[in-house]
Amino acid sequence: MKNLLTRLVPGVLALCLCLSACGGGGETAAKNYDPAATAQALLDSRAFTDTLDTLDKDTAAAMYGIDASTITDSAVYTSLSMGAEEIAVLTLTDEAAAKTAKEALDKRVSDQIEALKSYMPAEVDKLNHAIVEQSGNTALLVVAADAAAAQKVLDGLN
Amino acid sequence: MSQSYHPKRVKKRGKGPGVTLPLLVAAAVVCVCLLLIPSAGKSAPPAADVTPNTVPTASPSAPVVESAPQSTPTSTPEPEATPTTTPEAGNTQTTAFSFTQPVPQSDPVDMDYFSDALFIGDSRTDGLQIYSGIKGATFYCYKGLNIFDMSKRQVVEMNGGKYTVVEALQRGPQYKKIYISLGINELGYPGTDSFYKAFKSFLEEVKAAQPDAIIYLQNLVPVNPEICAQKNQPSYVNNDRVADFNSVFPKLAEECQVALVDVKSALSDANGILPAEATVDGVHYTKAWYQKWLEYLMCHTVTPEAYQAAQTAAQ
Repeated sequence: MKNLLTRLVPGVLALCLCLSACGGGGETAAKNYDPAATAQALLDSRAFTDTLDTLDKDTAAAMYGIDASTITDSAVYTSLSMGAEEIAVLTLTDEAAAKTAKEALDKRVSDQIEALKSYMPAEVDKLNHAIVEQSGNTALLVVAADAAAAQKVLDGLN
Repeated sequence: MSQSYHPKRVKKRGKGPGVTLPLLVAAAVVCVCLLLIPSAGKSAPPAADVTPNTVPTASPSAPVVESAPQSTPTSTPEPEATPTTTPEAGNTQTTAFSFTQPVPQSDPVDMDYFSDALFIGDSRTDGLQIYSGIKGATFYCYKGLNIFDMSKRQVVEMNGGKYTVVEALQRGPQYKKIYISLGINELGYPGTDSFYKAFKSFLEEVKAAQPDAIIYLQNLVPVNPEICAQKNQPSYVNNDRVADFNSVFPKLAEECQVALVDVKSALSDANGILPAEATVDGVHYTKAWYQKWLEYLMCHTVTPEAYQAAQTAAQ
């Protein structure tokens, strides 16, 4: 019996590992960003050169053209110099609302490019590398001076 | 490490014929366990992955919004702290106002006051919109907007279309108060004559398009020279030019019979400049300063009766 157990345990462990791996791969790897934690991680990185400050949920919703009642949690930071750098991490009521929010964030990027191309042309490059994502019931916009550094932060989350 | 073990164990298992059945039983048990255990364990950290409809509790959202790095404690100004003197300057008085002087201090208005107000301006007004905590107002503002753009640049999105400010004033809703703040993007133009003429023409168009509105003309807040230099702002963005432009506003207010609001004095320091703590780029304000701006506007209003009386007196 002891011999049997000795033989069984490694096999069972191996099976566990295999099945765990298969289980993980079978699910959709939806990343849900926590607004406060994500924004703070981005702010703590060296991806931004401008000074950003917070917007409340209703103001952000109006600015992006998103129905405020669909936003359940948010962390939004914009540039005090009125430049391009920006962070918006939104939790929405459901995936459909998150998709709508993502479209609004895409529009925000194109609107900002239009507004800044003559006012602050140097800022447009940051917008050309904007990160806009929708995942599960979250939507996210990051416009950073160093988009790669911002992406690295996002990749390290969840 | 575990990878190096697996081949060995697989080979050994194949040698013992009596081991096959228990192994299959064990595997079946493990399968059942793995189906049950992970689903219980996983639900804790990424709960939202599995349940996208889950509404987060209210508690996380409030601190996120209110944990602003800025010092100002609330997003809404507290105008009741501001009024101090001159009881005759209360919002209900109708005689002490004229277009030759800036709007005097008045009783503070509620935020509802701005529900029928329109703000026209550049990026500074953009900042007022997003950082001051103002609620209910409409904004026709745009980064880089200047007085020469009013009938040229389509910057107002309305009913699915894009319009110039003048077109939007003519086609859009009627407002009871219209606040105008322009000038910082015009500093590079030579002299002030073209600015004066364009502004006068614009004010006449505003009055024609919005005849029932009280028009508040805000003068130009100075810049911070040191920070402007650090941030490589253009050389024409300086307080001599700001002073030149500020000499135009009283004339415009008197001639066009609009209410002059002295935000310049409210937002500059004893040296007549934008304080360093109020700006990060020398031109735009910090959140606290946008709130201070709103607070000033809430305590410097004119009643429709006083506005009308001043117009009658001027004629």
